[in-house]
Amino acid sequence: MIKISNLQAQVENNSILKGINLEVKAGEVHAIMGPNGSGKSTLSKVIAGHPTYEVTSGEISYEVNGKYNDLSELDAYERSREGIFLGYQYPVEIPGITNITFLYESFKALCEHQGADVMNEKEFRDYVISKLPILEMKEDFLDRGVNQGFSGGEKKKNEILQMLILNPKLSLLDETDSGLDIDALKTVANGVNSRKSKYNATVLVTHYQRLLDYIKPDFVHILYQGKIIKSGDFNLAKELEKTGYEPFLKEIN
Amino acid sequence: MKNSYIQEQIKNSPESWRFSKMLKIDFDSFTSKSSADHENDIQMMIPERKNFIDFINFEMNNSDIEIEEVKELKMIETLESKPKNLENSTYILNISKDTELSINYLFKHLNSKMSLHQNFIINVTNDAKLEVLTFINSNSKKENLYCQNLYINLSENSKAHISMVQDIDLHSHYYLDIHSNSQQSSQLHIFEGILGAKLSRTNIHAIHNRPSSHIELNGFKLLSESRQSDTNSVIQHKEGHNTSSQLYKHFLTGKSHNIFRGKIRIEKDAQLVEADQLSRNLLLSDQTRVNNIPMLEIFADDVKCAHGATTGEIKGDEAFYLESRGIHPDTAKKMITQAFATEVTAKIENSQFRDIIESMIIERMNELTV
Repeated sequence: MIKISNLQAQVENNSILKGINLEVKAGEVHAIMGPNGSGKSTLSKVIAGHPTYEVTSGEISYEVNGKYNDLSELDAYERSREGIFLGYQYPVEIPGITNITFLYESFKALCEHQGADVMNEKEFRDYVISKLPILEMKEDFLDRGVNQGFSGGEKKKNEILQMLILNPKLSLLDETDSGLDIDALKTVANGVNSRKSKYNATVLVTHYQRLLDYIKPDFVHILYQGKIIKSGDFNLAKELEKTGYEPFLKEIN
Repeated sequence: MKNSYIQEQIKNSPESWRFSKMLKIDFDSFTSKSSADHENDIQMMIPERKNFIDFINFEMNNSDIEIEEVKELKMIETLESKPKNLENSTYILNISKDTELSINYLFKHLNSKMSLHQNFIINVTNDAKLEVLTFINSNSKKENLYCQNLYINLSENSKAHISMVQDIDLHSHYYLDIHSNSQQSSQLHIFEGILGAKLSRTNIHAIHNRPSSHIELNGFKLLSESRQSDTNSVIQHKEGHNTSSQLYKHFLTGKSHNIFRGKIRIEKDAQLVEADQLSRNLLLSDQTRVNNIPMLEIFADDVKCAHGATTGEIKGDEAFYLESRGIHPDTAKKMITQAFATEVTAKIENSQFRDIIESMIIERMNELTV
């Protein structure tokens, strides 16, 4: 679904990603782990097309209708329309736009691009309401300003709600577990697990092993100083839980 | 000289005028002879209401509600909020039952350098509810100065929702002074919309005199070219157990300049007060200028106060958030500017007026955003 080769990226002349190679296929769940400041969040933002990050070398190719295309040719909104979803670590508050208006605008844009029929507002609202129980969210969330006054947990649930509604091919979830208590973590994990299928893929970015107790990844990668220094299966996460990052970093140094 | 009270105000609180270009106005060069012609063609911007008052060049043109012109100070002696002198034309409105009122102001056919003044006193007696919609319009093409002094007295358990929108020409200046006194269990909601004027200055002094009252000040200012707007507000809690809230939003383009100076003062005996204040600025050009000066003066020890100020551009995190959900950048921009305004216009209680003002603002913002 996505092939990243020798990806290098910088922000304000600070090199952050220094040659990433990664392939994610449909149906897979990948976890990218690593200590703070290793470049995990940058990687997900670069894939989503955040304008602050400049790709200086390498390539990201992404599969659209069976063909691989260079992602650099697409702006952020076009990437989203092709099925790339970034779940934010710090979702933005937008007072004055209600959650339901935002969701509907976004849903409409995606449907129109994909040539699908767009539901009317009433139908859409009912559709969204049908997804709320998965995340234990109440209907009044829909009529509040986007993330306005939401608690940390509510913001993260709102991200997962957007993912469930927009049904992306590739979901990049950036530190979705941070700031969540154990109940909220289970709910969010439930939301992610509920849509696992052979048609889509998920990349979890996290620096705690905790989330992986609830969402089992097929592959685990350790990112350090802008490079993937080790890849493995779920057992790698187990090992990390026991030893921490230390032994892996030593190996490199 | 009719402008002297403004000059005195400047003299008494120079700090609050620090950034104001209005300081540079030569007040003495303005004359105050009005040349109102009583043509009955006032532009009604406000939906038809039960009661109305129309003013042309601050002179009463038409009205269907009892309103009195005050000639002697003794007529208003007992009021807490009242003008110090009656040099300006002064009207008093006594509301003793639930009232819906619209007030239209129009300035027209004026010579250059006119300064026009009005004092307006509103008294709402016990248990009465007042809703006022005010629209101030002018079609003058010359530099003039329009000054309004509004005095509001709210008796026990009374309510006043006052929405005033100003859309005067961009050659003229606008000065607004609001002074209010709130008694027990009263509610005061003010929405101030500044869409026009080259230079504008608002002074607000809202006082909680007794417990259990609520004061809400909201404002939206749209600034373009080299216009400047200056707000200087004080919300004073003299007694405890009351609440106040203030939200001001400023949309700036061109080389415009906004000044927001907001003080919350809580006196020693005013315990258990809750007060919040927020000033937000959205900048569309890098030549705009903003001064945010929030001030808390708290002498009581058991209160909850919050204040904040934000200044941001349209191309920030909010825009990327929308774009990363498939929304086209142009649509995202529109959504953000609209949302910026509607967060505060939503505070206008009258839905018809709110719709008119919102669409006016959105249309202007879209023109300025292109």
